[in-house]
Amino acid sequence: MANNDIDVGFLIKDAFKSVVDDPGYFALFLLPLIVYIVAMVHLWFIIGDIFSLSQNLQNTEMITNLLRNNISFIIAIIIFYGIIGIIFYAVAMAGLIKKVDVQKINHR
Amino acid sequence: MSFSEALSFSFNSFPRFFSAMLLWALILYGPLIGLILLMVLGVTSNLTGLICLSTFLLIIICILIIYIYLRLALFMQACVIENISPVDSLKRSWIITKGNVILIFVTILIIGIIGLVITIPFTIASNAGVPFILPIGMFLNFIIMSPVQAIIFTLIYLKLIKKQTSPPLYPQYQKSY
Repeated sequence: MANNDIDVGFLIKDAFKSVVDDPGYFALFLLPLIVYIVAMVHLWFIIGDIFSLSQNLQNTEMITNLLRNNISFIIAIIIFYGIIGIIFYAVAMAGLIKKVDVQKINHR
Repeated sequence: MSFSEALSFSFNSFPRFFSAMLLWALILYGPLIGLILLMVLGVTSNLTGLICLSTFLLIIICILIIYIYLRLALFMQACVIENISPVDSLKRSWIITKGNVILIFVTILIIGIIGLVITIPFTIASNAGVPFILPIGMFLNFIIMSPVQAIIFTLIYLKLIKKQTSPPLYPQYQKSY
């Protein structure tokens, strides 16, 4: 799709090329990713593997009971890791935008 | 610009950037949370009129939220690139996306479809009984699509400010793009 001189297809191609060429873009997002992985592992250690339980519809009651019994813990985990994750996500986004801006200026 | 330089910049501009994010979240989700609380109040006190009113308002608010989301989609880029305050970055995004809502909507749609395509094999494998494959797919989707989306939006922002014909809102910050 092109809007006057903005071609979304070209921008998507350019973005994928930048990400593949420069691992720094991935590296910036490793920080929030690690937080989310730690959160998931923490949840898994306490309440088990929700993903494998949710594959089987017969386990719906079991999942409901599991969530009900651990609701305060789950909320605490989501808030705690959620806030840390958002902070690191903001750091990654700000760094990435600046990096793209600087590199585009250098290419001119 | 190296990884460490980018990280150092983002830590320095963090308070301003994070404030902009909080303000954006408040504008987008504040009314939604209020309405959901109103709906919960209606359900708990069994007031049918209140439930109907809050449901109707919720539909209208959801449509409005989508539109506002598209108009404010470039506030992060405005905040970082033009080095402006959180309120000004939201204003800047609102001005710069005028007449480009469809472009941003289509971009988000395409990014969403690509993300979905990345996740599909992991969902299929997970349904086939492969353990831990779904979280791996989700993390992979996050690590690939987050930078891609941010780069695309930054490129769109740079192109939009380049072709902007109206006088710049903040000439002191305007670069020679």
